[in-house]
Amino acid sequence: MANRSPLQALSTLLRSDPISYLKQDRPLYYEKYQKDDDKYGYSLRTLAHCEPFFQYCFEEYFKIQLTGIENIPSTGSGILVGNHSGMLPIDAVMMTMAMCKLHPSPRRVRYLITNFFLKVPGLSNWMQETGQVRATLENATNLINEGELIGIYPEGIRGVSKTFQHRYRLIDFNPGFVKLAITHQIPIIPISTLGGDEIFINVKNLNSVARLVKMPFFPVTQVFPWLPFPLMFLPLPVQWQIKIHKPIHLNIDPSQAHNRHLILKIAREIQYTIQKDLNEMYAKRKSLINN
Amino acid sequence: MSKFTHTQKEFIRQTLNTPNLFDFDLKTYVKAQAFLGFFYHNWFKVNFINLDHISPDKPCLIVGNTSSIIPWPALMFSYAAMNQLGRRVNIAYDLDSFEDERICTLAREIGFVPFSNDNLKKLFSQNEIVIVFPEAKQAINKPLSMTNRLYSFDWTLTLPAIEHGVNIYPLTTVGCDESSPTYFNLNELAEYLDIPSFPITPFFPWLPFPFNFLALPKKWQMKIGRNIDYSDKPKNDKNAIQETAKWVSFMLEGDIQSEINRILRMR
Repeated sequence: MANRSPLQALSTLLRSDPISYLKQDRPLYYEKYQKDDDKYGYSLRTLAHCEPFFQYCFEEYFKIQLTGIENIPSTGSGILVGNHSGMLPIDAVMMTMAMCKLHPSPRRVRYLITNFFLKVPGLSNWMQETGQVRATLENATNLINEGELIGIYPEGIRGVSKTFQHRYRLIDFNPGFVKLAITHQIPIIPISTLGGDEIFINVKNLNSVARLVKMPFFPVTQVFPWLPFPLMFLPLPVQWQIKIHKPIHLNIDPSQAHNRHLILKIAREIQYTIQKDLNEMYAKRKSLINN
Repeated sequence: MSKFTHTQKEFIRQTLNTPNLFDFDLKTYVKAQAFLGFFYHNWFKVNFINLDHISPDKPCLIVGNTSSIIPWPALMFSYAAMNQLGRRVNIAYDLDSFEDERICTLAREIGFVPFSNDNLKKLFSQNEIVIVFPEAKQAINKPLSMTNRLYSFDWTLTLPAIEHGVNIYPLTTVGCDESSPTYFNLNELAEYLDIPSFPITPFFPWLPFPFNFLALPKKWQMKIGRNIDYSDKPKNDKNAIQETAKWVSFMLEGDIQSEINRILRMR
């Protein structure tokens, strides 16, 4: 599988029978999710279609160095919390790929996404079929009760729209995820991702244009509005580093879930942990492309 | 001097009433404060926010970020506290790093104090303000890529304050990193000359002696953050105090970094 060319990777998107390949490559994952009876529209076939291509991105293009995959629990629910980076939420895709390939018992991650993605014509179905769910409290509660792993980026859309000079500077976390963790007594797993903010060099956000075309933000990057369609999403091949922390079991009584002060404090502590990690990894990193 | 005695009565009264343990010299300070005032008002044009968070008669520890060889943020804070609160600031610093006796004496006379657990406790028991920079020596020559990004804090510096139970405030300084940029560090030359580092800055090796330590005239913003509340943390034995100190220093680092991020986004 190693040393594939980009063309080979692209050709995997055209496979007519992707599930048989998935069965062969990721048997554990296939066994777990072959039943295909998800009420949020998860479809194993769609995932199998694009899985080899994104695995190519994971291994060859971004050359991700990942530590601590064993910290993600194999059973039971949990909340993955990370710093949002990259224009397109590529970090979410990469975490899904890591869970699919590197974890001892592969699992899917249900990311809670904003309404905007569900309004884009071609994208909305694909997003839901690969496991993403609209971010509402009801959906999150249902998923946690089903024992699924959910992923939240508490910075929200402001996190991905950071300009290049503000890269790896966290925006204050929305504390909703702590409330979820306390009410359902599930662990929080902080994830820090370095590299995602440099794949697109966001020079400026054109807010007036964004309002006009009804996008959450309209960036000007090295490729974005200039190049023709598929090329305008072509990221730079920066090497990524992902660090997954040990799960944090809060052990707080569920009656405290409405204690706003406490929730904010915990959210802030998790934010500071991730920021500290990013600062350290950023200072240690020697090269953008090859470490 | 006469103008100073007229305007800063409160400062002089406080200084004369407290016992002088570390060679603080009012005459030298008055001479120095004219320079500091020039830097504060005209050179850096410091915009100081929330200085009134500090209570006028309680001891407290201020923790800040820095990036220059001369601790400009400490001097600017010292000037602001003198000017607006009428209080003396003790700058806890590793004075062993000054090899020259004259510089060391000057530093002690304008309020520098050698850092040690005992010294800080003595100062806290006299209701003094102490400022520390827990990024330690690595922050002195921050490379350009690390501007406005903190190195991890040395948690042991908050220990005396926690043992004594005084208030701890984060002090965010934005502008200091840009006003003293280090383009690169000549480590080989520094080893050869037996000095800690040899940075190349806009001024450093080029200008004659006192001017090569100058900083660029960049507008500064300084902000005192909210008091770190550690009253509910355990403080009964040594290990518990250390854990609390680690937590407090972690929170201080996060507070300062997030405040820097916020200010940079607004700018």
